[in-house]
Amino acid sequence: MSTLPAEQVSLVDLIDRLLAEGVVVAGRVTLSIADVDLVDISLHALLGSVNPGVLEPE
Amino acid sequence: MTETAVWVYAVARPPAQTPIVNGVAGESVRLVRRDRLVAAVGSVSLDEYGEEALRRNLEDLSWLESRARLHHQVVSALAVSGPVVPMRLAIMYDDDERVQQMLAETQREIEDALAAVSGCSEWGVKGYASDAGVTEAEPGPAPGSGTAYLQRKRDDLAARDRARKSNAAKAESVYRAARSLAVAGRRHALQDRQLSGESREMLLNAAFLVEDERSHEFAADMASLGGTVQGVDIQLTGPWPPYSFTFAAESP
Repeated sequence: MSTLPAEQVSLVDLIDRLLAEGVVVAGRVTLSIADVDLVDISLHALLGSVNPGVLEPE
Repeated sequence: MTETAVWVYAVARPPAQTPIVNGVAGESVRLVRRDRLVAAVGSVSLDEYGEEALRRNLEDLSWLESRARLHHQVVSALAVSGPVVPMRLAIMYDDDERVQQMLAETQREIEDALAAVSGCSEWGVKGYASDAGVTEAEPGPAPGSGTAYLQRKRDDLAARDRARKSNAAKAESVYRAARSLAVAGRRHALQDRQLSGESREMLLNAAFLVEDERSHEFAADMASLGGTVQGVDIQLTGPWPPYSFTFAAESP
């Protein structure tokens, strides 16, 4: 079945799936280039880096 | 020549077709095979994807967005030819040999996951409160006596509490209805309004693994559920590659 075209996907839905908790193989796969623990880069951290004023719906 | 790492998009079974789309770094995607598995991979420059650069770049929302979309595009392209186990964003290895080593080490888990998602797609089901917060700062009549004011305050709090409980119950019934048609279900954390840009209160953010044969039935049921469960607007997204259903624990 062909899946949702990338341009119709909202970023926040994608982040839920590609970065947020427990998604995909994380426990088994090690980043061999370095010990970057990407689980740490959560939505929370991201939000912290975003200026709250910029994205706030009016 | 700059140093590179090998970014992994997803794993599938041969004979999977090489996705004819560019990867996160604009590179062409290729397949790396080991026994009964193939990984869709691309070589990316360490200048941009090395540890230090990556830490910085992942904090940049527009960088993240474009890479997430490109990653998704490759995973989706691979999913056209059969079941896939998508990798989380930014999983990289030194070289193709290390990718093969990973495939060998995780072969059983990946094969189990491929079997589990075979013939299925993921659907996102989001539920929003359709009534826009009745209790929020209504310009009521001017406060009378202090007692009346306190009474009103108490009533407000009680109403809010009732609304919260009723919203939780609605979210639960939507989840259960969707789950009954699905192979598996999973709850994601509720989305932050700042990122989603959604003004309504989110009540449910779930994903379901649904057999492709039943996808029409599932979509129709979700559409009609919006009418049955009062006060919830349901938004269906998908079909997605099975991002939420590979190696992840299922919510009860």
